[in-house]
Amino acid sequence: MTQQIENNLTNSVSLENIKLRNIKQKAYIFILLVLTYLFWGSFQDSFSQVEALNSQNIALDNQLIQVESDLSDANKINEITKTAETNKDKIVACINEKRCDMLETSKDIKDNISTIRTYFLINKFDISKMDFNQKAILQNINEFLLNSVSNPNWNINIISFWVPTLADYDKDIYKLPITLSIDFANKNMLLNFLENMEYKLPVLNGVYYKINSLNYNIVNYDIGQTVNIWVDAYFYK
Amino acid sequence: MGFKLKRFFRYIKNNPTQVWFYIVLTLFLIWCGFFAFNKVRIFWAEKQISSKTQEIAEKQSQLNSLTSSEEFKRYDLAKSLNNKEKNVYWTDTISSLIYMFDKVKSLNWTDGTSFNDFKVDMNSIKLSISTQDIKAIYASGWILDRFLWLEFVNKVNVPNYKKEWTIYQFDLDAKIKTDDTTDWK
Repeated sequence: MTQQIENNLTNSVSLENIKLRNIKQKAYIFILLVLTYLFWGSFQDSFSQVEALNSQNIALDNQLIQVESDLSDANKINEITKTAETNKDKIVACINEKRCDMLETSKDIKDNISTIRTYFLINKFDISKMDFNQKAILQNINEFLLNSVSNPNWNINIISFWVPTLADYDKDIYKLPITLSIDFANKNMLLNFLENMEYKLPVLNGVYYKINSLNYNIVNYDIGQTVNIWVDAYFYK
Repeated sequence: MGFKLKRFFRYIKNNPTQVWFYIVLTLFLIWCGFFAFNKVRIFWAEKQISSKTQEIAEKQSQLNSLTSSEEFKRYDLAKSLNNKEKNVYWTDTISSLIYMFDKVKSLNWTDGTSFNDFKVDMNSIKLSISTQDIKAIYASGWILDRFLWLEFVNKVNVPNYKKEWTIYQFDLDAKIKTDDTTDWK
């Protein structure tokens, strides 16, 4: 009898425990569901946040690659301009007299010789009280293109300067149309003039020209002619 | 195996709350795992972004200091000019035209043959030819052949021949080769 009572008591305690455990577990389930509900928004946001950060990271990687590439190019240009400035006499000899042996060590200079020629020719033509530095252009035409210091017999009839306009809106390059009328005693003098304009490099006061057109009678090339030349001079301010 | 499975199902049947508790707990832990994983990813990504932004800012500042120099600006303009303003080199053009003119002039003109109205540009040569003997035009090694032998000439065209009194006249139009293989010097 006592044994049975004890068994009943034990069963009753065990049932109570199970009930209590069930209640606790239901409470836990409830708490877990509530927590999930409360943080569900943050959980969802975390995915979109990860995605956005990953895209930002990729964009920054690309930006970094671009900046590094630009920086490397800028460093290279910096090196080239420094070398060019210190070796200008050698560059002039290479361009004008085809003596490029002295430039053998400067591969970058040799590879970019055309750009370096333009680099020395394009100049800042700021001068007070004038739209552009006409003195520099006149000096270049007279002393370099016509080489009149050693050949005083050139005859310049007309030099007309037109209004400079922006040649390239992004780069601030100005284009100045110039009309020239010059007497050339023979074709070699004309060719010498054109070669100075198109291929050679003065030591001082360079000007970058582009010839638009000229009138020259080929049939009468063996006699002196007055040649009209329409050119654009380029500079920046 | 079958016995164990039966016991498992009996357990589920007898303890539904506990089973649900374990299911919810497992799902919750998985959910927490994902959440924590995302938070770690966000932390690392933000750290990387901050470090990259700083690196970019430093490099950009170096770049700005290099590109703001006068030399850089000039070189950049020079590059832009070289790329955009393609020159027709008149020195070479005039030399080539004189070369072609000399070649045509030096063709061994026979007696009674003359040319005039010579026009030359980088695309074509045009001239009027007069001759007393029509045979001089087509005979082997004579007028037409001499034009065909010119190395810079691509195509020769004579639209018509006209006889005026005793002289044959025709206009010859020769197209110039436009490739870079012709040696003009």
